[in-house]
Amino acid sequence: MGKMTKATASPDSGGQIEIIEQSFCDQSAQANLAAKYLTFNVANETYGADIEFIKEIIEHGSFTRVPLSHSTIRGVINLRGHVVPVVDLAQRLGYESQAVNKRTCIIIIDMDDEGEKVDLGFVVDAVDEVVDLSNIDIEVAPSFGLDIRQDFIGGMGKLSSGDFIKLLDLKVVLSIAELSNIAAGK
Amino acid sequence: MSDGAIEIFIQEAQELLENMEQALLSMEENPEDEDHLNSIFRAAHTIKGTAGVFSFDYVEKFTHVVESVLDNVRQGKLLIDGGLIALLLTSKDHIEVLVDAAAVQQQDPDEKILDYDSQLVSDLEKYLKETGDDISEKSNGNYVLETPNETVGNESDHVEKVVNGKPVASENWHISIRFSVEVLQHGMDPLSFLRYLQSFGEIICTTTILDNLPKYKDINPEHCYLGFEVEFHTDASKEKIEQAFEFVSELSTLQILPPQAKISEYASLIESMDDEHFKLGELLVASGALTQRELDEALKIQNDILLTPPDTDKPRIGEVLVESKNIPKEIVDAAVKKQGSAREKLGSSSKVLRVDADKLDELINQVGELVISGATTNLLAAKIGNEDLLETMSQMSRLVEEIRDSALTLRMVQIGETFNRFKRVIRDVSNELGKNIELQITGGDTELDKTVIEKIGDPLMHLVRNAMDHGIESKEERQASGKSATGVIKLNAYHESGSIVIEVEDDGHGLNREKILEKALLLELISEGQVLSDQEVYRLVLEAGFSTSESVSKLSGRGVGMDVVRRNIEALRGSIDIHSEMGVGSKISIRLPLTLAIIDGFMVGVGESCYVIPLDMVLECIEMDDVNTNANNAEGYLNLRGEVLPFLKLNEVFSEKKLLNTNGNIVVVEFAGYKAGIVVDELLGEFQTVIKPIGKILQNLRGISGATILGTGDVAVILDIPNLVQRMVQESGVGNQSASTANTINNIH
Amino acid sequence: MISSNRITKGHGKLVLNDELTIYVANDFKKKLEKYVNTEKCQFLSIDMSEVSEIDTACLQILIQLKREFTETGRELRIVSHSSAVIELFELYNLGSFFGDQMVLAS
Repeated sequence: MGKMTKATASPDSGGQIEIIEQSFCDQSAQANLAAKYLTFNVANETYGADIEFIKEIIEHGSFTRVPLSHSTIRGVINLRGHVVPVVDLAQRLGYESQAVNKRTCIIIIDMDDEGEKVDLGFVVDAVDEVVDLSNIDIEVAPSFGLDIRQDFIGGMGKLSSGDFIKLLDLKVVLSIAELSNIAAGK
Repeated sequence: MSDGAIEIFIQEAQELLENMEQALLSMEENPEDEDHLNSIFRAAHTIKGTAGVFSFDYVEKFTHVVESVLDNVRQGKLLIDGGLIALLLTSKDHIEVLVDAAAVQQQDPDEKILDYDSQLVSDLEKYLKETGDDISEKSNGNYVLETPNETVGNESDHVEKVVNGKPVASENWHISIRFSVEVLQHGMDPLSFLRYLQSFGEIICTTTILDNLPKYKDINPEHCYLGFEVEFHTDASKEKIEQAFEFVSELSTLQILPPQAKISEYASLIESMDDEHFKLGELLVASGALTQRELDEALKIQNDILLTPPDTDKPRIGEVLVESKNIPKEIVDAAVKKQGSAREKLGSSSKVLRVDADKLDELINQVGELVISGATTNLLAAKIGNEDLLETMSQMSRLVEEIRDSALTLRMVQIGETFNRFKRVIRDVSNELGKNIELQITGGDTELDKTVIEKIGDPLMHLVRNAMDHGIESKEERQASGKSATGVIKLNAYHESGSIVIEVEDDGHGLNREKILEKALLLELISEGQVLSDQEVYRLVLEAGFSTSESVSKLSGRGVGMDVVRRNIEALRGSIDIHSEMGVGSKISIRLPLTLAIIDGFMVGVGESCYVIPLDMVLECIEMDDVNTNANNAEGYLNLRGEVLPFLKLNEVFSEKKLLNTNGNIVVVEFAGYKAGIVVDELLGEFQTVIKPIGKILQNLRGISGATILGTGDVAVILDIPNLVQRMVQESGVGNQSASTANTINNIH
Repeated sequence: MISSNRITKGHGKLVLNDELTIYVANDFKKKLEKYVNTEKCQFLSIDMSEVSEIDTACLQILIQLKREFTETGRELRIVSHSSAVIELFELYNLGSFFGDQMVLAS
């Protein structure tokens, strides 16, 4: 989605006008099909994530700590008979680990890793709401001035209030390969 | 054609090709064996037929040539020798390639394959020319794809000629006799009748029918329970034959059918036969109505239709026979009727059921859940303390345990098939290496979990190749050292206390201790002057980058491998042991758990967490106060009844808060012959542990091997003891304190 | 009929001689009953080199004994055959059923 926005946001000049127009038409057709984003709070910042990957949101309950793993891995939980690892999102994004409060939740997502479904949870301080964002509401992330890794951000979403929120690219943030290296302390 | 049907085809073809290979290899040793020849022929025949149904033309065409050669061998026109077997083995490999191209990749084979194809075909045709049965008559001289119907047309013409409506092909008299039970008491013995027949003709074949023979204890020694089907060749008249049985004809059922008897006569014979265990096909062959070839053809067609979409009803073999005009309807009806009634009596006697592996896994998973919720219920019952409830619960727990055990045995398969695959490997590789190597297999019926079997193939392959390559010496070397020129590799498997042990043994020159030490020094795995036991030295070859063979061959000996083998085995929670004797040989034993799904666990408490240690590693538990230790470190050594025991305190290693009211307990663990002490706060006892995968993110983590869900619903981590201890040695450098013990631990992995 | 008939350490050894006919069949069956359904005998070798005559009655008993050995995963082998035994086996085409190498005792 980010890429498509990019293509129209920085149109090349000259002979490619036709193509640009074409893609512009496509985009406006898609604009009607707004995507839904879940917004949540981590370390006093609001983030959004495409709900496509999100399976469910559960209350913060009992964890089992996994010994010798990096603290970014908060632990494992029992999700209806399956053992699911949970990531401390604040730490993953580069903040201090946040204290658990009344509104702390675990968001469970379905990651696709080389064709295999992998269940994974991450901890957020609070879940806000689900918002509709069409493609024109999403702008490419600025290449500087961000407090987190740039490739974590899939784009900037413009809310109806006019505020911008950072939309996380969960495929990068929760990349199985990267997390497994972190967990093993590599 | 549905994908499902194609999948079945692929699977069947693989099985058939495997059978074919095994049978070919057996024939190499024993060329006369007709059973093997028949199964090779049947494999080729079935693959050809089913490939035809799917229009896998290349497979069909090639297999047809192979089949023609085999048919000639069967008919005795062609003698099978080493050269032909080798060619057939390569042909089998080629069929595999063709099947893969057609069914798996669903495309035409590439040019390279086709070139090879025509080369093989011309090799095979050389054999056919010897017999005068030139395949090129059928394929217009060139091996090109023609209309697929042609060969099929030819064959049914052929069948038509043989059976041609009414009379059957057999030139012999067919005598079917069931003696009455009293015949012996009347002073007559069936054998005298057969002897008498021999006086005026030739008994081509006797089939003794044992179906009416009762259990030993029910036998009345003076009764006769036998029946006979006799193929008899004579010029004498029917009267003459009947005369032979004159004395028993009243007491027994006798039917005599002339050569090329009318079909209807056969029909009534089948109707009157009372042997229940005969399958229809065998029955028709046994009674001479059909030749084996005609039956094969019919079976093939039935098989083909089986592969068409699953919702169509499977046609009875009878319908197939009528449809292919092999045999008139009346004969079949009689036979089908008979088969039906026999089947009813047999009830559910079918022995093997094919089940989708996924369904099985699902069942095992659910049983796992059942075990967990059983544990939860148990906890609750104990809390409530109602005695009746407790009693019912213990009964249920027992049942659940039984269900678990039988569910797990569903996944158990024999290791023999995996072993048998090595016959071919050994044959090919020993040719390549110019060595004579014989494979001896024992314990092929030992069972273990299918998942384990799937994962053990590669490591075994590596060990066997290593043995062939580095273990067994060249012929000259062997003879020079007074051994027989033929080297022996033994594969063996057996169960031992909840594990399976697989052994790869060779009678080669064994491991060279000095060379290993030299290399290990070079790789800095050991230091100068270190004293190592033989076992410790041998274990060094399992380290990465280790290979002592001077000549690096293309099979093994690149220095990768043994450490990969070790890792694979460890991933299965197994261990490797090496025994070797210079000049005598080496034996590598792999010890594996029988199943990967459930283990018996020993639960310990550390701080506020619970951990599970695999029970089979736990040797004993002792209180910390009882042993003499002044070590306050996280790791160290203590004196266990005069033995030096390295230990680690889990709460410090895991940075768990220590419970104040306990001094701690030591769980003494043993694995692969090494001991260590694990210091924990609490001992919580044994319990059945359903192993849950811990997910991709955590699977690289050393020190834990999985997770399980407790009765309370909490997750507990299963500890990987060998890894933990190794980690402790690496990180703390305790090894420096005592060189020999540290090396012991270092060599664990 | 029977010249030796004992089990030592799971290994049964049976030596048959003279006539095995319907006249001794009852007795023959009874004497061999101890091999039926027993764990005690995993392997039974039968020496038939001294058998001068054998008929269908006694043969049936051996056939069923062989079947029950096979069913329970135990082994019964005829280690030596007399010419009378071989003739009968050939007439009834039972060589492959017993699966033993037919060795004519000298």
